[in-house]
Amino acid sequence: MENILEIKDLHVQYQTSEDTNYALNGIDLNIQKGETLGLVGETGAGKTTIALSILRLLQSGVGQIKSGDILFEGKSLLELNDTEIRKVRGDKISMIFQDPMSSLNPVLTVGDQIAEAIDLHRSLSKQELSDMVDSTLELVGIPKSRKNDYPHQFSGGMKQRVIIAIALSTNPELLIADEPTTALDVTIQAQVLHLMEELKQKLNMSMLMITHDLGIVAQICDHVAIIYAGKIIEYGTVYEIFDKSREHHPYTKGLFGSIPDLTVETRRLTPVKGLMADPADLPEGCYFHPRCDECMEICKNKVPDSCGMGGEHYVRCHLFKERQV
Amino acid sequence: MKNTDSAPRKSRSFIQDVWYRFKKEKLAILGLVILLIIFATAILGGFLLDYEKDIITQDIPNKLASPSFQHIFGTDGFGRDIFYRIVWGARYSLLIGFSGSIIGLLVGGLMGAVAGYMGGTVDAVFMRIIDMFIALPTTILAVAIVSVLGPSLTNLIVAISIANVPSYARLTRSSVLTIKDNEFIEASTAVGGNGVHIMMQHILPNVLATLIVQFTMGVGWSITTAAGLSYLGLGVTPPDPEWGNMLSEGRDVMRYNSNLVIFPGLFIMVTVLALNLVGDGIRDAVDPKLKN
Amino acid sequence: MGRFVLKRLLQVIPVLIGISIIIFTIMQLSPSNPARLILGEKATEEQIEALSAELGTDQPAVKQYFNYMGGLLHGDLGNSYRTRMPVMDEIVDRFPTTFFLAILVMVVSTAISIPLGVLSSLRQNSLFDAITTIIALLLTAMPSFWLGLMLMLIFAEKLQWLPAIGSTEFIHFIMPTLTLSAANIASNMRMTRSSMLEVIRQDYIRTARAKGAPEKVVIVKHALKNALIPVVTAIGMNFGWSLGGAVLIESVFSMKGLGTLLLNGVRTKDVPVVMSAVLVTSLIFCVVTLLVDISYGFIDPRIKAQYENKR
Repeated sequence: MENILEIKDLHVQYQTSEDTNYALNGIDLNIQKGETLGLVGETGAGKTTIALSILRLLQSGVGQIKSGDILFEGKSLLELNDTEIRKVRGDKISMIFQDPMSSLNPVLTVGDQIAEAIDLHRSLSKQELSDMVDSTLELVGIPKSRKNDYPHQFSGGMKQRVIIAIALSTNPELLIADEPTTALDVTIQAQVLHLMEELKQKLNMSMLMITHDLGIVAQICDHVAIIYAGKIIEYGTVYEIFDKSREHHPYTKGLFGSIPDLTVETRRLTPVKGLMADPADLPEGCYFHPRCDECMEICKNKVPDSCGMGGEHYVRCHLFKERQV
Repeated sequence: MKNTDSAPRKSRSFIQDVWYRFKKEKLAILGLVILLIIFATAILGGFLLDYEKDIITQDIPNKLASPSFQHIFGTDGFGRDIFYRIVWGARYSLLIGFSGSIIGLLVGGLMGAVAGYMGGTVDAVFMRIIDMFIALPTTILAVAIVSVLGPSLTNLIVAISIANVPSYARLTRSSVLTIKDNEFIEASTAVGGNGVHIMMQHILPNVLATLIVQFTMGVGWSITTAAGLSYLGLGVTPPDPEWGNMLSEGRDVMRYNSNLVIFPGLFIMVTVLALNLVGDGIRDAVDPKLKN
Repeated sequence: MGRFVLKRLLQVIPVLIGISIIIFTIMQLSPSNPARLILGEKATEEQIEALSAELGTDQPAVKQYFNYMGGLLHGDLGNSYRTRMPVMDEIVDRFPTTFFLAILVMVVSTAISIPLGVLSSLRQNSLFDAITTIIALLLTAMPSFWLGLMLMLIFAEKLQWLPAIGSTEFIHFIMPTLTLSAANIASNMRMTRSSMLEVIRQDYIRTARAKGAPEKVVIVKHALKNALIPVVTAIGMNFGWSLGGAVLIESVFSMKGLGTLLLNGVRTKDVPVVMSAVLVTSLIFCVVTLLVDISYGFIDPRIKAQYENKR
C-alpha cells in the first residue's frame, strides 16, 4: 500500500528560558492511503507535537524541528515556504483540535468560520460558497439555518461538529484528529465518532487519530502506534496490538492493564505506576526504564532498537532483542 | 535532582517566594534602588539643609542663575537654589504620596472588605456610592475637596486620601468576592470559623497581594495629583517648595530661564517611574502568570 | 438591546443626583461666604447681607439645594454668583472646547496606541518592543501637566512654532491634545500588547492557522477583534480621565473650557457654576461609558446576548 504520510526520524525540541524539552526523539511513522492510524500515549508523550509538526504549527520561537523529515505524498513538508505550507493546511491536510470549547473564534459566526476554510483554498462565487457551507453543515448533521449563529449558542458536541465541518469542508486527503472526543460527554462521544467514521468512508480520507481511549482505537483504527517520551515504542495492526497471545512492550501492557478483547466494549487506559519521564531531563538508555517492572541492566544504558514481532508488529524493547537475529 | 537552586522550594513562605522572584526582575530592582536614593536624599536633606537659610531666604541679585558649582540646577526667580528646594520638596511629595495612599488604602480597604463580606443591602448601597465616585473624575473630586478645606499640606493629604478611597474600596470588594466563593473559605466556615476569624486568617492575605500592587502604583498617582493641585495653587503654598508649586513658578519664568520648569518635573517623573517599576515587579512576582 | 440602553440611561439619574449631593455638601462645608469672596474684605456687613439675599445664599442649605435641582429639571442651571449671568450660557460657550479636546485625545491616542500595541506584540522581545516599552514607562510616569509645560517650552518658547496659550483656533489644540494623549497612548498600547499576546495563544488562533489562513488574516480578522474588548473599556475610562485631566491641562494652556470654569467656580465658591460643570462632566462620562458597553455588543456576540437577556 502507498503511504500518504511518512515521518522520518523526527526530532522536535521546545526551548524555554529555563530549559530544553526533548518532545520528539526520533519518530518514524507511516500512514497508508485510506487507513486510520491510532496514536496512543499518555499526556505529554508528544502526540500533539507530532500533529503540530506535520502542519508546521509549532509555536514559533519555542518549538523547533531539529532534524528528520515529514513527507506528504512523497514531498517534504519541511522544505515548503510559508505560502506553500498554507496551501497544504486546511486543504490537503486538516486538523480537528482537542477542545471544541476554545477552538472556535467567539466573535465570528460558525458559517463565516466554515466559509473561510473553503474560501482560502477554492475560488467560488458568493452563492457557491454559501451553498457549500450549507451542505457541509448538513454533512455533520447541523441544520443550515444555524449558520448565522455564534459558537456560544452551540453545545460542546455541536461545536465539535462545527470543527469537524471546518476540517472536512475542503475534502482533505489527510485528517489529523487530536483527541476529538475527550472534551465531550460519553453519549456525544459515540455520536461524533460514528460521524467521523461515516465521513471517512464517504470521503475516502486517511486519518491520524490521536487518543488515549482504547475504545476509539479498537473501533476505528487500522494501525496503532504507542508513543512514550517522544518515541514510538510499539506499532502494529489493531489486531496485533490487541492480540493477547502476542508479546508486548511492558509499557503497553501497563497501559492496557490487561489487554482487553476486541469484542469487549470501551475500556479506558489504566494508569501506569510512576510519572511520565520529564522531557527536559530524559533518563539514559530506555526512557521507560525507571517505571519498568522488567527493567534489566542494559535498559539503563542502551537505547533499545525496534524488534520485529512477526507481521507488521514491532516493539522497541531489550526484552525481545534476541528475536531480531 | 535538577533545578535545585533555580526553582523556589516549597519550604519557603509566600513572602520569601515573592521576594525570590522579585529579585530576578532587573527593572524592579532598579526602581527600588532609585526609590531608596530618593528617600535617603529627602531624609538627609532634612538634616543637612536649614529651612530658613537654604530654602526660603531670597537672594534677588542672584535670581534665575544658570547651573554652576554653587547651584547645580541654578536658582529660581527669587535667587533660591533649585536643587536644595527640590530636595526639600521630596519630603512633601513622599509624605503626601505615602500617607494619602495609606489612609486611602486603610479606609477604602475596610469599606470594600465589609461590603464584599457582608453582601446584601450593605453591598448594594456601597456599590451605588462607588458608581457615583466612578462617574466623578478623581482629579475633580480632589480639586473640590482641597478648595473647600483651603490650600495647606494637611488638607492636601486629606483630599488625596479621600480621592484614593474609591479605587481601593472597589478593588478590595471584588477580590473579597472572588475569594469568598473559594472552597477553602467554605471549608473554614464548615469547621466553625467565625466571620472576623475567616476575614483575618483567609481573606486578608489573599487580598493583600492585589492591594500592594495597587498601592505602589497609587503612591505614584497621589504624588502626581498632589503636584497638580499644588500647581493650581490648591496644595502646598509658596514659599514652601513643593514640586508642583515650583513648576507653577517655573511656568511664569519659563521665557527667561527653563531650569525651574524642567528639574522639579523630572524628579516627579523619576519618582513615579521608580514606583511603577517596583509595582510591576511585585505584580509579576506575586502572580508570574500575568507576566508577558 | 433597546431596553438595555433605556435601563442604563435610567440608572444614570440616581448617579447624577448622588454626585450633586456630594458636590453640594462639599461646597457647603467651606466656611467662606460667597458674598464676602465677591465683594472683598472691605465690604460692609450690610452690603454682604444684601448680596447674600440676592444670591439666595442666606437660605438654609437644603432649600438652596432643592432650588438648584428644581431649576435643573426645567433646564435652568441657575445664575453664576460672580457674573450673575445664566450658567447655561457659560456652559454652552465652554463645553465645545473641552468636548472637542476630549474627542481629539480619544481619536489621536487610539489611532497611535492600537497599531503600536499590535506591532510590539507581534515582535515580542524585539528592539522595537523594548523601545516602545521604555517610552510607555516614561510617558506613564510623566505628570501630564509637566509634559504640557515641556511641550510649551520647546514648541512655543524655543521653536515658536505653536501658540503657547488660547483655545480659539485648531492650532491651540495641538499641544493640549498631545499632552493628554501621552498617558493614554502608553496605557492603551501596553494593554493592546498584552491582550494580543493573550489572544494569540488561544486555540481558535491555531484553528485559523490550521485552515491555512495567511498571518495577516489571522492577526486582523481573528486576533484583533478579540483583543480589542479590554482595550475598548480602557478607551472609555480614559475619556473620563481626559475630562478630569482637562482641569489641569486647560489651566496650563489657558483654555476656556469646562475645566477652567470649574476651577474658577471652586475658587470663588460659585456653587451653581461648580455644580453645573461637575454634573455636565459626569453626564458625559456616564454616556461615554454606556457607549462603550454598547460597542461591546458589536464586538462580542456573547455580551450582546447577555444584554438581550437582561430585561
